Amino acid sequence: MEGGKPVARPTTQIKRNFRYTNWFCGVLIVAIFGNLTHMSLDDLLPFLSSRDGALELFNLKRLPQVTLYFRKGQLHCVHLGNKPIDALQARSVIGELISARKGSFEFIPGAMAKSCPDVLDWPVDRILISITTTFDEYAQVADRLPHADTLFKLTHITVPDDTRLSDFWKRAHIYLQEGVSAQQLANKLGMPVDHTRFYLLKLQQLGAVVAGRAHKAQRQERRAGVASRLLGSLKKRFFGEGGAWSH
Amino acid sequence: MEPLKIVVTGPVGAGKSTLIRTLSETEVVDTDASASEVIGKPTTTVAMDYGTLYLGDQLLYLFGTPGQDRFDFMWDVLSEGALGLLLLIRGDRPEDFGLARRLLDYITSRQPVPYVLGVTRQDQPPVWGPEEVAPFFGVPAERVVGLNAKDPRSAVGPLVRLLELMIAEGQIA
Amino acid sequence: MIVTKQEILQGILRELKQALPELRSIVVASTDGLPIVHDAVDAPRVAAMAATALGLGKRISQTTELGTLEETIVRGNQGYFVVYATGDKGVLAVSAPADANLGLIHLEARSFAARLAQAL
Repeated sequence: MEGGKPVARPTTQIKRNFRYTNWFCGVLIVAIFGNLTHMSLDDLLPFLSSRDGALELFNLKRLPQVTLYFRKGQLHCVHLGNKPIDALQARSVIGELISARKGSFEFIPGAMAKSCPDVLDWPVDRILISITTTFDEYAQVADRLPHADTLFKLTHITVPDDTRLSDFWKRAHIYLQEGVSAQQLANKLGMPVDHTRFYLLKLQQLGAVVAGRAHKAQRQERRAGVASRLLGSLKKRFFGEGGAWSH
Repeated sequence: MEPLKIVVTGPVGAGKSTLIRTLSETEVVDTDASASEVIGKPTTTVAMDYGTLYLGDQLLYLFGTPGQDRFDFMWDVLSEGALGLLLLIRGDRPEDFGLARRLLDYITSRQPVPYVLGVTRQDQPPVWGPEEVAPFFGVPAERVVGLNAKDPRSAVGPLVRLLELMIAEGQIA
Repeated sequence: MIVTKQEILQGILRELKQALPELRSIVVASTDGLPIVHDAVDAPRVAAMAATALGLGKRISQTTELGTLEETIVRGNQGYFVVYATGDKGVLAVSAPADANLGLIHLEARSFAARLAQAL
């Protein structure tokens, strides 16, 4: 990571059961970290599904330390208090984690489980679908719902039929094709806007919708011309003649 | 030649006002009020920050928005007709990423404006870097740049990237 | 009996309502846009907008040399929205119908703004 200095692990000493592939001078580099109060597991799952490594969750209210091992877009294995657990237990632990609002997490890229007798290999989007879409969750995500006027559009990803989201999906699908906001969907479908915001959040986490990034082609050419002129002047101004900024 | 506008937005405390002060040639006009909440500093922007920069013979306006989402009406007002948008976030405050993401989604879904994310505090680990921030926000890696808002040569980085991407898009279009 | 600041402010608000019954809404907010006391439907949104309007008004007043800002007025064809500074710590925002007597509103609102400034 450019510009990043290696850091020592925080002092909450935790016994670890895996081997690192990301040590630097004997010290672990941590660059993905946070608190479940502000960033919950369902916020993290989509993003983690493209990375191999271990997500450690600690200081949890009702659970000892949990480690989720990700490999090739799947949840490979789960350890609870440094011991591997089976699918049944894993399901309930993940359920608790998704609704947890107290606790911290760190992601260790490349970390692999030393022992994994019960391999899960659950695709991440399946986890999201099977555990979400209940309004019990609603109160906890209220402050993280998308803005009522943000426009969302479909992506190429579809929502499987057997999910609780799929009813909303079927009704909203046609509007999402052109781009629609939670407020507009609330009006068209006769639902409270907070519900449509909630469903759109879940669909966004699944990757089925994305905030429509509007871009008009003709403007792009005009902008490009302007940008060329500006870039030359900008570089001269800040880096002097012949200077360059390296990214 | 008509002046052009760059909008700088992001959560409270991300460094928007600092960035504009660093880049602006004129004294920055701000609309600060005393913060009644604990936000880590005594004042906060309630309307906008405004600075200017002449690049060659082109005047560039730099507008900073307020960070809290109760001021979301200003996000719309300020970003309309903007040449580009810079979203600043502090890499050591992942608790603000949710708001920043909602802000980015809101503005870019409603205005066809090119954008770049700037992640600050890269010199103070532990900190999320551009390679971690990009997938979390669901944006292409080239749209995220690390910077130090107080150093002019670093602060200008996101603006350079924004212009480079606009040039590149123009060539594809 | 100990009266809280909130109760004092609520009391002033009630008196303002009685003095100016034509007002559609009243919001007292912090200068950074958080509602303190109000009689309005969408107080959080109005509080933020009032702080923005006053903040901008103060800056314009300074830059164009208008002296100390007294109030910022937004006038639509169906009514007015006026924001007064209540000392340094807050703002008083009121909305009134188009046929309201703005002069009278200013007189009353300014004196209430001064009282609120004391109480805040």
